Amino acid sequence: MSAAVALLLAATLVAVPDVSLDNLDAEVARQLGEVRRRLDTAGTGAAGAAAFAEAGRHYHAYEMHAPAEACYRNAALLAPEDFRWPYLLGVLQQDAGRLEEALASIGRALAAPERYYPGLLRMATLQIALGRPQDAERWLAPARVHAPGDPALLAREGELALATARPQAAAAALEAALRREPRATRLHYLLGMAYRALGRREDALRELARAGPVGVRARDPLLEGVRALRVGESSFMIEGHQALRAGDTDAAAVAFARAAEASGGTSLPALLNLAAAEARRGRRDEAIARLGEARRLDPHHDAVLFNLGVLLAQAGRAAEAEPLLAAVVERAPSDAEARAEWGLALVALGRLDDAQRALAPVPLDAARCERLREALAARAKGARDPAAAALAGRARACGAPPVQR
Amino acid sequence: MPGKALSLLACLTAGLHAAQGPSSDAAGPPLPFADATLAAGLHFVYRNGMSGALHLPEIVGGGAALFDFDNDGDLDLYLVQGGTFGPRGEPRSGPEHDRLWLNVAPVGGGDPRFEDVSAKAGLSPAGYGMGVAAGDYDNDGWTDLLVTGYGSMRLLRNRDGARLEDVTARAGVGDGGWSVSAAFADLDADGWLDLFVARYVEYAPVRCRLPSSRPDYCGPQSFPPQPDRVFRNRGDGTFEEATARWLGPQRAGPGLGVAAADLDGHGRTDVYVANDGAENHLWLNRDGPALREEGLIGGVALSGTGAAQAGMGVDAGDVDGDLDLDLIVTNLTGEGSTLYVNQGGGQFEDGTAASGLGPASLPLTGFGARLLDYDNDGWLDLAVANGAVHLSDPAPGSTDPFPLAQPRLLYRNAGRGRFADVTRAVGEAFTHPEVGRGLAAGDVDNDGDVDLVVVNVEGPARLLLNRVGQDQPWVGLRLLTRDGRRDALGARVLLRRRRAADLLRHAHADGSYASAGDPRLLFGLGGGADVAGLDVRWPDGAVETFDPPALRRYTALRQGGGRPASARSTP
Repeated sequence: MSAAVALLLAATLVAVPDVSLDNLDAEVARQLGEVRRRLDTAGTGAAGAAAFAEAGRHYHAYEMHAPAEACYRNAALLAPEDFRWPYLLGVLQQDAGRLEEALASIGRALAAPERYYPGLLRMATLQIALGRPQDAERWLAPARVHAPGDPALLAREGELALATARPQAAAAALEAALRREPRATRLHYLLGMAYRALGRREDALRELARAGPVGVRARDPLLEGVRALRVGESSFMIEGHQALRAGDTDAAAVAFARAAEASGGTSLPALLNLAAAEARRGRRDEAIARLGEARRLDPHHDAVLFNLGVLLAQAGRAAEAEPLLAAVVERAPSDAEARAEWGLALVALGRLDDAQRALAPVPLDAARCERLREALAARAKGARDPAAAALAGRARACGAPPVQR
Repeated sequence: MPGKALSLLACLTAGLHAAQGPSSDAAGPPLPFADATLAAGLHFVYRNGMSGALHLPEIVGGGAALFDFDNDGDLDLYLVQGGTFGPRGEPRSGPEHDRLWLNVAPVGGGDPRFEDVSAKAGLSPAGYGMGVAAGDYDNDGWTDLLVTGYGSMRLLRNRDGARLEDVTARAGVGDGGWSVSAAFADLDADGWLDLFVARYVEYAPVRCRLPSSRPDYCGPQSFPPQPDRVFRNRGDGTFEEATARWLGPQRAGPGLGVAAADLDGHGRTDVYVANDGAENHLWLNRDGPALREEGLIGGVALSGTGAAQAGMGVDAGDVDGDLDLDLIVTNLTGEGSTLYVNQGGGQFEDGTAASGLGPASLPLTGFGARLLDYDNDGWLDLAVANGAVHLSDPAPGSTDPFPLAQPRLLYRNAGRGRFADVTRAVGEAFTHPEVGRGLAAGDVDNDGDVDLVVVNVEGPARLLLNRVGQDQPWVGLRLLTRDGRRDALGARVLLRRRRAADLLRHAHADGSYASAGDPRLLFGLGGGADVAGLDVRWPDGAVETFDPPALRRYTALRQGGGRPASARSTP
């Protein structure tokens, strides 16, 4: 690059807004501080492009949109042949709700020979959101060639069909997507809407009852690479909670595990949340192990003791569960949840008098009533003492649906 | 007092001549809205008690009510005040309190002037306020207020336009939870206004962070949602809790916005609740007295892509001119405002993409929202108050403790529900960024167009006067119950035109966010002023026909004062 060109490029670069490092986790502050130092010494050649790209990815990882955008713009200017930076710039713009800008940026990225598949789907999504179905179809056509049968593609086709009043086509695409990705509970809503439009009300109601928050997206290695740059317990905790809210317990477990690791195993919230995510994934033993670690950090933490007690009881280890739950009840006698679980553990241990006393002041919802019935049924036949009779009566009488708080 | 109410009725029937507002100047056409706050003598700041602890209630209030407190024929203004926090985030009264501003402009027109009558009305610090709903619950001819709040809810009875008396305990509508929006609506069609209260979450301080690990306000997902409540008006000045009986075992949602209207065309008032980050609820009122929640099958619980959005503000109105009520819901940045287009029978479709609402609203977080025909061309436009809810990573040395300001939005309906963002054309009144929340709409200067009051958190409340609507022909209506004492909230009017499409409007003070608006109806007739007549469907289902009213004035229509309508004309 000639000196004149370098000067011209330097003049057209966008200033990267500085970000305060106050109030950040130490690891994050250190990481971003280093990024900034490298950026400040970057030139306008290939090294400069790399520095801007790297800084953009780091800022992007923490959703610091303004500096990330500036960095990506500069990287794209210095390395115009690299589709990654306009693509990631477009992702940021899409997240910020600036759809037309996102279309321009991602469109520029897709002009490169790679035709990055997640970008094709993003373009279709953007065009659907902007009410331009024909333009959406233009981007779905090459995506079909690239990954026919991909559930993310099928989902976009279903959305597009719904948006253009073609419920039959929408239903077909969404049914196919759900066959390939049954965890994508959000698609049940779209399928429900398609059935509704077709006049199939009962089918629609069935699908709507199964609707949930989990969407389906194409794997996006570029974005995954950005997220992998995060360090610090807080970042992973946030990521984990976001994943939990989206119904993605697998991703949540990964994020909480990284949070626990970032803390050197000393973060009780990370372990507690990791255990919750593992339990939701059906990995009870893993969850018990993580709660055991949390208990070593704080032997008297109510949430740890309660969760561990519940999981141990579910695993048939009532003798281990009972003292944990008893400890929670002792400290918080009005905690109806803890008292109910403690009572059920006592039933499982055959301590029916104690169980009767424990359960007396608390309402039992339908699920706990069922567990009480099962625990009583599992006891030796003929044990017809008064406490057993009283509990059996309780089990027969209760079962109202849980009251919403 | 009935006497006062009747005098108002006479005044309205005689008509209020339009004020001669400025319509143009040498520099070009007037801007649609002008900030008249200072000129009107208004000064109010909603204080949120922020101290750096980042309590969620700091970013949720507050609201305003435009209502005729003293029955003199013009709109007065009630502004809800916030509060402070105790050591565990519990609500406390702040040093300032709610304010009642009397509109003292001469009846018949002129720019509004407001006078603070809070002390005379008996207002004093009373908890941490959020929003307000307006309705004459005791049918005495004076509009009462329900003030929602964090940790308290107060029913203020309007005593003859002189005082606002706290009758919460006596009326049986106390609530120690967190309520933001509420609606007075005659849900059982017995002639008395019932009360629907959307409740938010059970708040307790927890720490939340931005992805960068910097402290931030928590979202509603961090707290258990509170179930909504409904109170049946007994007709003796008291209410009975009807939540379990009318709503059944409900799935609690973090409710922020409420709109009561006949959304399925069955003749009874339904209720729509915008929930923050959870499925919105559509309570259909068909077989009475119980309401049935049909948000999902109705297509209004989630976005068109099946995502729960951060529903905040809501309003109902016929945006596409097909003579049913559509719904607009404001949401978080990245979600945009959502338009649910009524397909009839309680079924809606997400029509946002085709409407053009998305692009301008997506970068902003919308709160107060009002469908209003600001240019009186016959199509309902949309005004939105915006303000962020999440902090951003600041530049070094930044000193703004509350960097959540965003511009307002004004969309013009170009016809059939196709919207264009005209914010920039409105100028400073809309582009100036503030932390907007409540938005109340009403014809403050009685000139035949809709003005706005915006409540900003830690910023001045704004009176934005409409300077263009009055240039078009218009019809103003006040719909009154049989005894002529109170506004017939929930009534729908079909205005029939000979050479242009018919128009549907409904009487409501609810909707938007944490705010109450003018219950009178305004029909902009820029598209055709040849009115053939009016068909009114009253809240009890009765339908009457009225002769064409006079143009450019308000006319009061009392139930029983019209002719029985043919079966054809049921608005």
